[in-house]
Amino acid sequence: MRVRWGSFWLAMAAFAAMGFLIAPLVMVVAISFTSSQLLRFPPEGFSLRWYYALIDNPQFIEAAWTSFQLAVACSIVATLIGTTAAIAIYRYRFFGRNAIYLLLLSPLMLPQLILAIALLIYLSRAGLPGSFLSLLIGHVLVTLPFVVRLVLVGLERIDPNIERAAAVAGATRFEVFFRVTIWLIFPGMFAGAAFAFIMSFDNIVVSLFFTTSRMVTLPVEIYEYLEYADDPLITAVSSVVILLIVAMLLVIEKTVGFTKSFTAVEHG
Amino acid sequence: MTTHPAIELAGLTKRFGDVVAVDSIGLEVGVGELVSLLGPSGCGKTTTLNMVAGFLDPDAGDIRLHGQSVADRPPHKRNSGMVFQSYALFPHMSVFENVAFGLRVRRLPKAEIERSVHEALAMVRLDGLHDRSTQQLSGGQRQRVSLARALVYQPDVLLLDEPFSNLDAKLRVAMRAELVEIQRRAQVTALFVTHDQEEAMHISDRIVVMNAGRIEQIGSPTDVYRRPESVFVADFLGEANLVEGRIAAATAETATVETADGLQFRAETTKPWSNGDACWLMVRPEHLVVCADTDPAPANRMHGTVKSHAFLGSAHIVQVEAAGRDWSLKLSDSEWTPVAPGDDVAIGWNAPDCVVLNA
Ligand SMILES: Nc1ncnc2c1ncn2[C@@H]1O[C@H](COP(=O)(O)OP(=O)(O)OP(=O)(O)O)[C@@H](O)[C@H]1O
Ligand SMILES: [Mg+2]
Repeated sequence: MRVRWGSFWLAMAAFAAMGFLIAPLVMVVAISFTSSQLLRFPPEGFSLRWYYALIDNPQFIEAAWTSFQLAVACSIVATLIGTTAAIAIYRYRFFGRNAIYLLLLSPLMLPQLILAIALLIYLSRAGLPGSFLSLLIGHVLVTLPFVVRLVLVGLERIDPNIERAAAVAGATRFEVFFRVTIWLIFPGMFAGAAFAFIMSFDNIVVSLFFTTSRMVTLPVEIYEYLEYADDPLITAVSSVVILLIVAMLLVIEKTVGFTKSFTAVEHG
Repeated sequence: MTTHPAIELAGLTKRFGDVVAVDSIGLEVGVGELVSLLGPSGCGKTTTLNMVAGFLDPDAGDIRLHGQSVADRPPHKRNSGMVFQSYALFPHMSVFENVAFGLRVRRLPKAEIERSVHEALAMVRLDGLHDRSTQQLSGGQRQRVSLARALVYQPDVLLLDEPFSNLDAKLRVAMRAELVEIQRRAQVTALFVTHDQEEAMHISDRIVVMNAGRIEQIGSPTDVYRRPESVFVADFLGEANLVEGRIAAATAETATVETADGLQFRAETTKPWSNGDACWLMVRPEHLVVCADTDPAPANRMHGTVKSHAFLGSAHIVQVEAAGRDWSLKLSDSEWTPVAPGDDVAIGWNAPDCVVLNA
């Protein structure tokens, strides 16, 4: 059999890239089991002391819970708004359509820092300083462009005759949308929601501006902890988060089919 | 009650910017008829069909289905069925659900939906495949699902836009006969768009030949092929030998056409011609024959030289140079007497076999 060198090297490159991406995660998890005081690789000995320490620092668990709620809310809101906006942009030729499209995508190009400052000024004028709502608004703003893009890609790949076939067969516009269109763009919506969730959970720049002493997200909590301590506690926090996210991805993969959703976005 | 045509188009017009895609079209399709819109790419076939379906608003004119104007009705209120070249099946539904769609949105009882879908699937010979996902079907099967989906709710009109163009050549031909049979059995009026003249001839009760947004001619397949009314129709439907000339003599039934270089041909015609009218003479390659000197001379006869010969299995294509131009002959294998390039031959045709056309 002929060895296909092209695909061999491609596979090697893929493995290398994957290793490169995964190595830091593996390091973090490894350090979390260290018995030493130092945030250093390789870990020394083996202990669960940093996991016990985690239990003594409930602010991390609280922050993780806040982040989770925020990420879920952000992903729902961003998906609803993003899908609606994408459909409006794709379907209707209205005045200012391009402007709205660019505006929706602008958070992709603006540094989050500038966005966050602007939003802080705006929201405090509107009487909405640090709160869950202002965090949510900030997160939706930075995740929305991804949802819009992903849903638009999904819409662009629909054969317009599929919707026409539904209409001729007697479906009202409303029925066409809920019986046909939404199923065709579901992979894009789902990928958008997943993206929004992860980006929100991960966000620090925007969150820094809107957290209060009582409302702190996990990345901010970790960041602030690192300011005065550099022990391996945060590696234990990170490991737990990694575990939870992997578990979540597995559940989604088994129920909805995560990779399928993404490849569906790729291949239409 | 007077009976109305199933489809009536009156002065139907559609412009896209400066392009007049459909230019004041008038057409009546009788109940149960299968009529084809035939024409070259870009002549406005799809635009016409899309206006009948309700996807496009006409700029002028009216569309009546069974006597009722539907120009202001959205597609879902026209009770029509449509089959697309791209199949356009619902990818998230099984074969059964695809076919059931029109019945579900009509809110019919479950038992009736079940029965009608199975009937429709049986009609397109897909019984037993109702559980399949549409991705597991071949192109021909997909198009049959889409036919069943369009017929299951007994539409007033069936619209088909090049439904077989994505299928391979053999299947395409097989599906033609099947479509005609299904359409007869469902007793549905059908408007069929194609750019394939053979397909149109094969299936249609009548053919509407279109060119640049206008109707060139409407008639039975035999009519438009044998009695084209314009050079465009003559040329678009099959092969044609076309000669430009003037009328040299005319009676009620015959005309003599004289070419610029003085050749005279006799033709039968039903149109009144006057001496000096500019015209074209058209004769189909299969009506030209190679004649031996002993034959009773056909009305029109010339001597020429064979330029090329090709064997296509069922027929021979021979190019003969005569009277300063090339003539194309299509001779069936059974009446074939071998000729080779360079041979001198006499070719000819009978007066009823050629047509005189307006210049
Ligand atoms: N949405 C549109 N916008 C602008 N011009 C259009 C549009 N749809 C069709 N046209 C133009 O209208 C004319 C007729 O197009 P139409 O699609 O009806 O042709 P057709 O006969 O179906 O051709 P084909 O055999 O290639 O499908 C063409 O010149 C086409 O470019
Ligand atoms: Mg077309």
